[in-house]
Amino acid sequence: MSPQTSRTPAVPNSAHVRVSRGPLVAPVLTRVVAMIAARADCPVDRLEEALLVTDAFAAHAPAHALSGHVEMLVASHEGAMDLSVGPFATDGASVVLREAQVPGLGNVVERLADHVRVESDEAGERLVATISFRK
Amino acid sequence: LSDSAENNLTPVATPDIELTLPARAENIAVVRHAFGALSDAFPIDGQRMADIRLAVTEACTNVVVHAYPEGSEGPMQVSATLDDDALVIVVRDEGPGITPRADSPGLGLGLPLIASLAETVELGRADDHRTEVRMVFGLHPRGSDGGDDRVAGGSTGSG
Repeated sequence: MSPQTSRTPAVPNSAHVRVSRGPLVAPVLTRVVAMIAARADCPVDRLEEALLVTDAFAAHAPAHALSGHVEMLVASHEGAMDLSVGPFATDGASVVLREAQVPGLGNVVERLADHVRVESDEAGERLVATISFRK
Repeated sequence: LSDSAENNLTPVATPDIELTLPARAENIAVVRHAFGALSDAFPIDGQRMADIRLAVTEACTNVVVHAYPEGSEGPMQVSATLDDDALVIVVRDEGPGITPRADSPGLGLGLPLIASLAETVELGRADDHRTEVRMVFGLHPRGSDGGDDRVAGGSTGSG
């Protein structure tokens, strides 16, 4: 467990996932998000939408991922769930968000998440989507 | 089956999947479900996949039950590395190591069960002194071309 990968989740209902092989990114991330969301009593419509956001991340994040892997931190808290994906190079998170644009529908992530932000630390940028369960 | 907790294990290559969660009973199901993704993405025989998930469940249960003193909590990390004909799964924790316990709450069947399901099992310490259970499972022929399908960026860290 190298230091850069030991993001031990501090929140009880949370998981840190790291995937290095392309075909596994979407199935692993969606399965973990589904489990964490279900345990958080997320309503089924919001669970579906959380999975759509996860699918968008899984589709676009690998092409911009630093160091050959995609990381996602999934954490539920009071009435909401954060999906944090990265690490990306500078402006990489914005590019991933922009690529979630679907013709005729708009930006999937921005439409489905309650709040979207870019965070950065020494490892790189991360795109964070908050899915609220109480709309 | 190597059963020495002082056995120092050599690091494996960058895993294809690495999952880190609090070592709680409910998270065993998360690991089990997440590892089902292996058969979503690759043609792994169903029975073999069931064996793998059972062994991973047992190893994670050991972490939840034995790794940390009652009332305290720590991480459980599970990683998987797939190559052409084998799957290496490593379950790690930050507990004191695997030692005999006269007051063990379990039946002691977990490790023998893992040993019967996996080709090899090693118990020991990783470089960072974490306790590690390493299981290797043989796989049926995958039927793919074996091409490089790693996430873009690779080891160059470009981007």
